[in-house]
Amino acid sequence: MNVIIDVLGSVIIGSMLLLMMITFQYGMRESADRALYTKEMINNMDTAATKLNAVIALAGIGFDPGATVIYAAQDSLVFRTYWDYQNDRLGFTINTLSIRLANLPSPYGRALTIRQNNVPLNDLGYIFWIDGLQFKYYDRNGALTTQATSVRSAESWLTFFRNPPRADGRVLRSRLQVRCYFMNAYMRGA
Amino acid sequence: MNMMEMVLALFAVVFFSTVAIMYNQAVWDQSEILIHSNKYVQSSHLTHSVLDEIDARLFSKQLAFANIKTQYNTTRSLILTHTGGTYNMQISAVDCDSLGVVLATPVANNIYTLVTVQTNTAGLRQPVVLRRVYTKTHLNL
Repeated sequence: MNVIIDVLGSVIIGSMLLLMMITFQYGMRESADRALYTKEMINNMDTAATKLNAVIALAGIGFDPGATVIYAAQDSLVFRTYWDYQNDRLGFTINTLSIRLANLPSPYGRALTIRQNNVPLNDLGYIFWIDGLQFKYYDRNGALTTQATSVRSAESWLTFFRNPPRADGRVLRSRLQVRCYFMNAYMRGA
Repeated sequence: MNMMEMVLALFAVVFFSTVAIMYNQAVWDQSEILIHSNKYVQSSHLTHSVLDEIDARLFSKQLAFANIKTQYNTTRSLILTHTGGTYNMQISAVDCDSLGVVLATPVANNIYTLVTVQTNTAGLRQPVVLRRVYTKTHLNL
């Protein structure tokens, strides 16, 4: 009888330990998947911020600093420039650039959309995994402004998201704050 | 339970505790690497924006070339509202040659200045350091 109890006890303890190991393994795997997804999202954050900086830096080429920005709102920025972003060269016509979050057809959801003359840029015209965008504008002295004619730099508050690897997991989220300067306005004396 | 069984049970406890700790450590390491990566991206863009700020102010003649060294040997502490956290920046500006090598002895009318920006914040494993060499041109004050 004692032997049977001993065997039963060891089987129960062994099963519990095995269960613990399996749970650990699942937890570890989910954590690794989330880490991989987050790593890709962080890479996307850097790409988005670098693209925004590159686009805004070439704003206002050929324009007076006060005439560069057409529309400076919290959720969108519209400006003019002679730089042709589609062909990555100086153009001969005025280009109107807009940066805003836009709804895309299903299943794409929302994306940060950069349009030139209402056509999305070929190179990173849509930047995904972003569901929050807010602009703050600064004048030449670094003071906050809401006047389009005074805007000399813009701070973008970006909120990134990505669906988790497991359907019932928490959504992955991250935030980034980037300041971009309208370099051409400064080159023309701001 | 005899002595042998007790020793075996103790070994089992030690073994499974070690496994559990190793798993936990691995998960924590992953988490720390992600936090570091996130903070690194934010810090590198903040650092970059300081260097861009100097460029912009030089272009617009709001900053004289000679004043880089007086105005950008400083520290800044930024509290980011959107992302959260405090980022501490150490900015230094020194005379250098055209390759960015710091000059041991200052040269009169030197036209190169090396600006180094180092940003640190909680969760960052090592500070982000960016450097840019600024050259005086006829467009600068």
